[in-house]
Amino acid sequence: MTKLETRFESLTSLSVVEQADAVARGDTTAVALTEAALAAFELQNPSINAVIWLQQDAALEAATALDAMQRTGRPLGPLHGVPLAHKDMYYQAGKPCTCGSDIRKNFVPDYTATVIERLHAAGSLTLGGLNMAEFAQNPTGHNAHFGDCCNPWDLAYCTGGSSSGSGAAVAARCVGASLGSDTGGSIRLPAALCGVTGIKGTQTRVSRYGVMPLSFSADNVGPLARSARDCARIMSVIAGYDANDPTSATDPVPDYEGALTGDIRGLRVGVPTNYFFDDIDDEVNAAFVQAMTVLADRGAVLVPVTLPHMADISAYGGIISRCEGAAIHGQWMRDAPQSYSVHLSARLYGGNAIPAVMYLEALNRRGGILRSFAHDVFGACDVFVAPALRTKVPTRHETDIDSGRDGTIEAFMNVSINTRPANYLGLPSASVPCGFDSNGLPIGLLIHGRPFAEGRVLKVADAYQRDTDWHLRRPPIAA
Amino acid sequence: MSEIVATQGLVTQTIKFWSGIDVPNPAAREMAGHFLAARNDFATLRGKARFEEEPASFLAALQSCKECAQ
Repeated sequence: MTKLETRFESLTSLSVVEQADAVARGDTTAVALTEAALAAFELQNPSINAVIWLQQDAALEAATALDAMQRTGRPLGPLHGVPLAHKDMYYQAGKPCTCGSDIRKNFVPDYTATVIERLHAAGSLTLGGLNMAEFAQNPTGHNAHFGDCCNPWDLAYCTGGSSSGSGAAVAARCVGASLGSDTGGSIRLPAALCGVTGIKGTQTRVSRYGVMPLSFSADNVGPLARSARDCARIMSVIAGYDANDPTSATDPVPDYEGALTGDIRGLRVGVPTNYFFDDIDDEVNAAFVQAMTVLADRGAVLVPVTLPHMADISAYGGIISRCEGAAIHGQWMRDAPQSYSVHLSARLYGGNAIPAVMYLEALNRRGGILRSFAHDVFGACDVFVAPALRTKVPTRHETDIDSGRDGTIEAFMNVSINTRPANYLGLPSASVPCGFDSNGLPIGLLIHGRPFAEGRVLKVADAYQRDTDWHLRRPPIAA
Repeated sequence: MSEIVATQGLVTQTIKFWSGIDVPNPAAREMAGHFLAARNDFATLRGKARFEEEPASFLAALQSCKECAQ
């Protein structure tokens, strides 16, 4: 098969919202959507390597049951009949969960993540587990155990990570959406590099019960999808308090999708005057400037903002996940260091050398820095924006630190420099496609809001997507 | 260069001493040298960073920074 059959292509082209609406109207079925998604994976995965495992029979069985439910006329969930596949770190009782690793290649959890249960309760079904950085610990999409995930826009380039398979599978029109996770940019980077939309919510907004931990202070669960509207629908399903995750916020979940009015007149969009544009690539900057014109034309008011504490945020943010990752992986690092890829064992190893005093200082000052940052920045603007990367999308070759070549470590580390601050600050942050570079690879725009302002972030993203078509463009392999 | 090599030695010895983990590969040794830059970043913050002496909670800060709390 070199091209997706027309009957499948017409279904995989639909967004998540369109798929759910089509099932609700009876225009298509969960079985038809599932068959189309499986056919798309069969066609695209040999190129992009986005899949770790698929459960074809179980998925079709679940789809058949959902179609039977639809025929009863009972009220349907907001994702009824929609096939999804997720980063392979969400526990499902009795299903594999490799976490992209050799160490957990045979791991089968005996309980299910709350977010997966909520997605299933909303009517979606799970096709399988998607490729990811080993233990979610790199920003590029390299994986020494399951093979690198490749960017659908050009297979030589990084997908971004760590939710590499999620970005690639959504971009390649295999699934409409996928759960990723974000500790330093792992949702927003693959969204940006693959040309799709992704959001991490406020720290504590989405339950992490049953989700492989990387850093208990900075991990976030969230969707990658084709549009802000799709992300809004999924966030409305997965967000909210979970008794199994005592760190999850008790705040009620707003109607994110209902707030997507397109009206951003008078909304103050902060454009940083520092940090995010240091050594910015000219093409990336030009796309960003053009995006600002789009927002201004919709009535947003652009205001320059100077972001305080960026040196502190950069220094502190860099050590929390390293220390916590080292603690989580300590015993495996003693027992089986050879089971890790070269670059991951190197990163985990170093986390053991960071003094506890520095780690505690980073945690102790986090709240104070957030309060000061929010006062200064969100006193002046409602959201602030930035390019997702300062550079054009790098190739897998130039960021392959396992190779040991000069410069690869620096290139690797620079990928997440603009996404990391939102994790230390705990802010909601989305990435939307805002153009293409001269290599034909996507460029991403970050939109940040104050804590619990996911709705506003999505509203701005949706308003931007009403006037642009970057998010609708398809990579050549899925055209 | 010698300072980086010295940093690598210090870091690897500290990790062995406290965590009982050996250097897994040359990349890990090289990245250990990067702590020199990280240490310097923290050094520039000295005197500017104020430790919060009152009970503090990041989760409480998230709540206090919500729009309705302003």
